[in-house]
Amino acid sequence: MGASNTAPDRPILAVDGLSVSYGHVQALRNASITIGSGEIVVLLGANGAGKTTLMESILGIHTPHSGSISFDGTDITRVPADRNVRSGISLVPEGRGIFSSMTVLDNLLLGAHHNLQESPARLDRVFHWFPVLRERQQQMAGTLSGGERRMLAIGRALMSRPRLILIDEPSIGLAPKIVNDIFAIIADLNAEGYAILLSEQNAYKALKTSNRGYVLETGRVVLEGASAELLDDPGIKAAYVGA
Amino acid sequence: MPLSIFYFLAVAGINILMSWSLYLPYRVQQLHFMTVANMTISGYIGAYAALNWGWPFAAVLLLGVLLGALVGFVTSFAIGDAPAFAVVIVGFTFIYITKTIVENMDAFGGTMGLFGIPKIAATPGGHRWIMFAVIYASVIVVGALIHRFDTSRLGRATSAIFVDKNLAATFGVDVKKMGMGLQTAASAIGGLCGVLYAFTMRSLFPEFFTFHYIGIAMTMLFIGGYTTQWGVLLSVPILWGLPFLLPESVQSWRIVIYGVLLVVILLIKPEGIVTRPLIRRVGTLLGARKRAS
Ligand SMILES: Nc1ncnc2c1ncn2[C@@H]1O[C@H](COP(=O)(O)OP(=O)(O)OP(=O)(O)O)[C@@H](O)[C@H]1O
Ligand SMILES: [Mg+2]
Repeated sequence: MGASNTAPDRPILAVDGLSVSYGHVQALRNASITIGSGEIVVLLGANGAGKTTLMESILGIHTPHSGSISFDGTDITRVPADRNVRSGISLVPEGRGIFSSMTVLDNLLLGAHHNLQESPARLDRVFHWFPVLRERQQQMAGTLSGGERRMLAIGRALMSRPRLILIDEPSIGLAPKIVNDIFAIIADLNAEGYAILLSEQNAYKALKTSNRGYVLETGRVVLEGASAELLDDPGIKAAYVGA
Repeated sequence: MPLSIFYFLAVAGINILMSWSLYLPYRVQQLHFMTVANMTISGYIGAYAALNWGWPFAAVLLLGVLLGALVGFVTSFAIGDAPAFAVVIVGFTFIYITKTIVENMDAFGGTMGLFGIPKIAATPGGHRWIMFAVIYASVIVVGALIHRFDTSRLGRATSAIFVDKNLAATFGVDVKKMGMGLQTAASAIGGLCGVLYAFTMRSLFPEFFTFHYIGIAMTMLFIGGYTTQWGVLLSVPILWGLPFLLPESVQSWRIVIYGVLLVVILLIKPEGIVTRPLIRRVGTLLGARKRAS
């Protein structure tokens, strides 16, 4: 995978010393990560480590009290989510993700909220990735299986023509076979040029698929490196890969 | 047109518009009762302009709409994305304050009411026909605008906000701007209704614009169904008309009847009578008939 231990020369995303709190709960402490334009990067961490908070802060949902974020060389530290979506960041939220009482098509079109005129072409791309969604487009999203829902959530994120996709726990709650499919699609998307930031608790598959990884613990980055090296790290093995 | 029929039809039209003024902000789960206060403010100031400054009806109507929009817009900076209960409390407060101000202003007739709002035609009959036409033209125009909104990308985004506003925000929907836009539009409709009501009745009383009117508009929205704009077209004529068909002695129980019906509907059909699946089925049915013929 040509992974290197060092940060990329020209990052598409650079988070530097970010701290974010919910009232008195400090969810991120001085966290720094970078993602290169062609990379898949994984965030590892237990429940409550701050993975979701980091992704939502990058998108502009939470306002950091210190630190900075830049996207493609531009500072976006306090830029609201709608503008970041327009400029090419999109998020696949964990778990819930879709609107069950809307059709599959409406769910996808929601992803194109800011570029509806391009939606026919984008829909074609998404249906190319996920043929099952084309067949089900008039169906209520609530009737989809767990794996199909995850595909719909990823498909919706692609509708806004992103350059960086943040995917929060793509494998959670899915059968191993479906998890393999999802990771294969993530790798294909990356091969097509999308930069991807994943968060995962089950690290094996994620480290196999990604270039580099960061380990978060209670809001701090405690370890970072090439995925191949992290996979061999005894601490990681014990904590996240399982026996 | 006989006076009783005129009053029935005119107020039914105004009730449809007022139910829509609650429908719009409820698209993002806000109960924006301020529209009743907008009705009072625009109704009274409009009537005052007609009575004392000799403003023509069209100018008063425009004033009423703009005043409603302005008040709604300014307050929406504070409550555009406020939690539902905060929006309700602001609405109640506005209703209470406007009612108190009106009751204490001699220029508005105080608790006695404001009388003698001019006719807009030479004869009483002409006045009724013109008012009838203006009210139902307003229903058609406002209804068409709401339909356009609901079927647009913004309508889709409001449906997403209704279910989960945090999730909607993740694909770049600006929840506050959406709430502000809907509140402003709703208040403009409230202002419009105030002027229409003033010229229908040709007199205004402060006690009309109170919690009891919220009860009426809300009942019509929730019994008709809040998930589409069409429910109120069914519920208003029925709910507004039904008590007239009953004996006089029962009529004063109108609000109690509404309350009981509302509770029953909320229990057995929480989304109201007309729902989105129902509209879709009707749409397919009509489509099938068109293709057959
Ligand atoms: N809305 C909130 N209000 C208060 N505290 C919050 C909120 N959201 C998250 N937190 C806290 O912030 C910390 C980080 O949470 P976050 O959701 O980012 O973790 P996570 O790594 O995504 O966890 P998980 O794997 O369970 O999804 C946790 O301590 C959590 O309790
Ligand atoms: Mg999380």
